Amino acid sequence: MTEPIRSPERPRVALFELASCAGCQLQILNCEDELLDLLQLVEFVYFKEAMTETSDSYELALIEGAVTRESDEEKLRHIREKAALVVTIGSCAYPVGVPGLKNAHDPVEVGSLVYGEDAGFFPTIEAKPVDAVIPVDLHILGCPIHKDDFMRVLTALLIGKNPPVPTHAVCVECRLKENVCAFDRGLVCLGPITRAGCGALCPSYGSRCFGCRGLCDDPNVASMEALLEEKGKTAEEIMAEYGLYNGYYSRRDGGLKAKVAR
Amino acid sequence: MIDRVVAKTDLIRSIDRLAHEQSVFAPVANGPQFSFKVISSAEEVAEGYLPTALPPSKHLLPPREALLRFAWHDELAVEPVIEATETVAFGLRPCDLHALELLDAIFVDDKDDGHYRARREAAFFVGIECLEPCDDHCFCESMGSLRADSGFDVLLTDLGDTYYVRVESTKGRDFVLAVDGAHEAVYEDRTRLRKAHEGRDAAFTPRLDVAMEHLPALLAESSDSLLWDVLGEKCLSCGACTNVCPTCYCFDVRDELNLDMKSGERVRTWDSCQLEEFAMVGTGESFRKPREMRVKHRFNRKGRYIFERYGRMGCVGCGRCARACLVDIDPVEVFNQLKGRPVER
Repeated sequence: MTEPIRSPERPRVALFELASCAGCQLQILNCEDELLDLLQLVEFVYFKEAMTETSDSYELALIEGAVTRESDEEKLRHIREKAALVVTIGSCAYPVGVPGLKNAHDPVEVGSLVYGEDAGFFPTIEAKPVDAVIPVDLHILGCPIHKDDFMRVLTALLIGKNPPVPTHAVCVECRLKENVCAFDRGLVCLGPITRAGCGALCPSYGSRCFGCRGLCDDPNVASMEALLEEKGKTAEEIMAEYGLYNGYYSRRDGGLKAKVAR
Repeated sequence: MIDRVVAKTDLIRSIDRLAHEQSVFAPVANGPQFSFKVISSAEEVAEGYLPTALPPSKHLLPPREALLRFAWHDELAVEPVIEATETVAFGLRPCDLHALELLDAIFVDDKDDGHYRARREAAFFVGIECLEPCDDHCFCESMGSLRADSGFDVLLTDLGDTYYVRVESTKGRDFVLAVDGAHEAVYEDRTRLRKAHEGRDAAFTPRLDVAMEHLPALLAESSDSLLWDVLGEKCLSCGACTNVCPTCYCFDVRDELNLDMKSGERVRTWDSCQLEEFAMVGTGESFRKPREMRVKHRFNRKGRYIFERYGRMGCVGCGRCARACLVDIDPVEVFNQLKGRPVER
């Protein structure tokens, strides 16, 4: 059971941004019909895309983006000390998302590709999810997060209820939509091992699951890999599948099997 | 009641009229598969369809429904939500009719669930007989659900240009009498029906090595079978099999709070014994954590536990789970392997 956020009448919320597109912040601002109600419940004290004021005093820290610099790690440790509750938002913060793509390449090469001759002024490290640096209380998942998910999790945290984070795979939601399975459309799909909660958004619009929400609680990765091989994928192609969003944990010891978010 | 015969074109016209007047729920094509949907004209109805992606039970027990709404203002106010629309369910296959009768036994006769019962009472069932197997996955004949003798208001049998209509309720009689040109079945019609049934009986061959009546005992003595471990290694626990199953009815209930923190609703959603969380209790332990235990549980529900409790088989042989399974777990193979066929690892 999660402890309710204690003290002030309206808990103070700070939203921090690491390497990301800021799209998840925009998703919160997109909650147009709910924003006034939301502001009755919490007070934002730092939110770069929405306000100029800043504060270093808050109960709930929302973190968007992946760790890509040493200074990010310091920043996170500071936030962890200040905040009662640390919640990540979006795929960059967990499981590492698009910033993790660079982990598949030589860091020097990546640096000079982006910054050219000035690469030396922008030292970066391997892209990491937030929970690889500090303990995280909860992940709000997705690329981007869904506003309903954000509201549901926030209301649950405010009353100290277990936030409704699905433990199962995307397939569960996809079947309920009566979609034609991506595998039956000649595609491969990470739905069977990816955490649900998106309503199988991508497969419902003719695409397939790319794994943006990370692994479900109990993924059968061995059987999934056997299935992908049966569909003609090589080991390298399978790693590339995982690498789009899961390019941190899939490269650690034991591959994807080693890391399941709780 | 008196059986009737109607011309196909007249019946289609009648369904078309109904679809303009009220809710008609019928199989509609969606790419290579089919789904029950509320139609607006008879043109949308798919003929000769494979069992639908989700079973028709989704109409009586929706994947997500509000059970009650609550609000705290000066005091707590709670309103039950009972919603039912008069609906004609058109084109139900015998396997699905058997499954719906099982759900009636559970949700009306045993538990008297008001939400389910209201929809069931507002539903009118038009069954349609299967005269040939739908594909390699169906095994309804082996599960005793190829023939439907009850659970419908009318049952259609395709006789070429006409349908033979078996009438089982007064609502069914009114339905068929509203079809232009409906006439009482005479000796020649009954002969044609018998011939159609003979053709059907020859077309469906048994697929199980074990008689349906012996499945409960077979499963009981197979508790330690190595097959469960083999299946546990393959199973993705994606819940496809239970979501598409016409007899699966397990659900979860949660309270959802609105942003005003004063009102909300209690929601019932489909759940699945194949998911790790299903058998998890408040302290975090799960009674069926290993995947092989969950797989074993599902097959025992289908071939044993439900039969022991309700006297009806928990599997109707529609083959939906086998069609949906990405790793080819097929109940025909599972039951036959438990009976002694070699297991391929």
